[in-house]
Amino acid sequence: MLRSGLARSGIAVVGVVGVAVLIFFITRLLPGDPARVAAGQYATDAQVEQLRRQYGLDQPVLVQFGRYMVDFFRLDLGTSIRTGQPVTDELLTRLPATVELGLLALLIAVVLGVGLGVLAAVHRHRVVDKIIQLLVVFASAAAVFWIALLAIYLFVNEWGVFTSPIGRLPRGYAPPDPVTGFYVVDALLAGDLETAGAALRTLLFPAMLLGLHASPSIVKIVRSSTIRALESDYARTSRSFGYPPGSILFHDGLRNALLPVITNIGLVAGFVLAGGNVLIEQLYAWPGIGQYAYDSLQENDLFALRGYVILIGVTYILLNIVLELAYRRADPRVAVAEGR
Amino acid sequence: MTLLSVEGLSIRTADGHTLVRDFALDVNPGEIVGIVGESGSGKTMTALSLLGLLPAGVSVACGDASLSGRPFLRDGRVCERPNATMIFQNPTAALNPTMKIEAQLIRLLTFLGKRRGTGRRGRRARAEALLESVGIHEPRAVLRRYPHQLSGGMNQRVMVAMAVAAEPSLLIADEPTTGLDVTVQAQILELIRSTVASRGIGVLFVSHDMGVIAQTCRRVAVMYHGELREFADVDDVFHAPRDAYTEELLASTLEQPSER
Repeated sequence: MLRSGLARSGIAVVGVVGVAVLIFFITRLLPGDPARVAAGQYATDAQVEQLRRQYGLDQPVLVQFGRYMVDFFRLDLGTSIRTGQPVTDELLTRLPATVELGLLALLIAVVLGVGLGVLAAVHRHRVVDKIIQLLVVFASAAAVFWIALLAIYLFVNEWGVFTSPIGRLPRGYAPPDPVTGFYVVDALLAGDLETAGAALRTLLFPAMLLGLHASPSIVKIVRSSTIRALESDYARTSRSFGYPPGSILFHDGLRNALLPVITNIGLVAGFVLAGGNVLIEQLYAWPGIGQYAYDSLQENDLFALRGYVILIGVTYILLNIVLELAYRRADPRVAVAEGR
Repeated sequence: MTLLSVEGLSIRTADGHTLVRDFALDVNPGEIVGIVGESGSGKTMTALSLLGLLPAGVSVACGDASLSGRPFLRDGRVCERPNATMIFQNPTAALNPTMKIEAQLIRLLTFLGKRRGTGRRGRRARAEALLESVGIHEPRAVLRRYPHQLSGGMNQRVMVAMAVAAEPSLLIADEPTTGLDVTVQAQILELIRSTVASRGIGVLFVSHDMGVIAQTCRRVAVMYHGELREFADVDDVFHAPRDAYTEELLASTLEQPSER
């Protein structure tokens, strides 16, 4: 266990360094000249040249790469061209907003995905299953920005269920004292129930959309793996003893269906934190790292973009380690195959 | 008095194919009756249909069956659960891969306990005793294992222990020794025979192997393409087969190196 744990951390370190190297060279392929953009439309060539020197962009690629890697190991992701602030600090102050949104969205996606998937599996090839399959096709085919705009129009403008999407709190509320960075948790810690409620309600709207958008792949996996488990030899054994359907669904169905779901949840978590949330954060004026990445991309802010991609890459690697541990707990055969 | 009696049993798929046609057989208490036939002859479907375990898209079209005089299948419809249990081919796949043997036994004992109104106490000791009763010498070690950590023969013993724990009057064994080593095969057959002797239950024994049938059963039903070709004493079937197919089946068995 200890030895495989060490091996795993070793692989993780190699992964993180690999991500850093890859990102350096990929971001060099981005179109546009960062120094030119930073200097502005009316800058003279001399001013651009001066900025280029300031950011070290005039050096040979290998020198730039060496500096980049040294800074990387010192957790220094450089200075944003757009804001002039250290990228690491900027990302870290924005991270809690994204994680708060992402975690709730993931929770909604998992609850929705597992619930609908099991429902479809139990009623397989019947009407309920067909309806759920249809919903899945719609949810995965519809563009999230369109759905989000429609939802904002209906829920905010027409029905007034949610407040305007202008950030993490409605107008007139002050942010709670930062402890965890999660507004809902911080407001609860401060004993301010009203702010906590307002923050949760503001959070719920984008989280629901992001969760809904991420759920189809979970529904599909849960449905197929639950059907496979329910039609397995061991489920047949359970039926031969006359076990109640609930017990068969839980012990034989869900428990064995969980394994592929864990793998899939990793992918969905990455999507919710990195992919889907850039659009959602933009539409909801959510001050997270997705919005930061979007703004950086608009202004060709090389260092900020690099920082964002590195953060996402590292998050993916950490996520995979956690999932692997979860997988070993859920499936005793994995541990045995590794000779534990 | 006959223990199990099956009459006019037909099994059909949803798209109209007939898998078993007009099957009939009876089992006496303490008797092992075999069903033999090649793959696809409908013998496993027959066995599964008695416990309502047919796969999706396959169903009993007509037929009656009763156990200890109580009808459980009337005109193709299940009218009650027969007091029968089953062991299967590929025992390792027949046990839940994510649960330790102990958890699976406790699950069964809890379920049986609820049905009979006995308490939850002493289930662990009962699980141990059950494994011992099927010839497992280190029950504690086996209880702590997952099915994939045990051999096929060991898992089949566990399956027999579970099947016996339910105190059935009929045990259905579907190819219980297929895929096991010859020595393990002999042990499992001996276990089934001794279980029959000590408990007086009847066994319906499904196999494609004439050799195994001959050393286990008193009477045998020969199936071919979903039809019952012959139902008689094993000795008669062996020495004076009345059916051309039975003769063919015997000839093919005798050509193989004997496992007896």
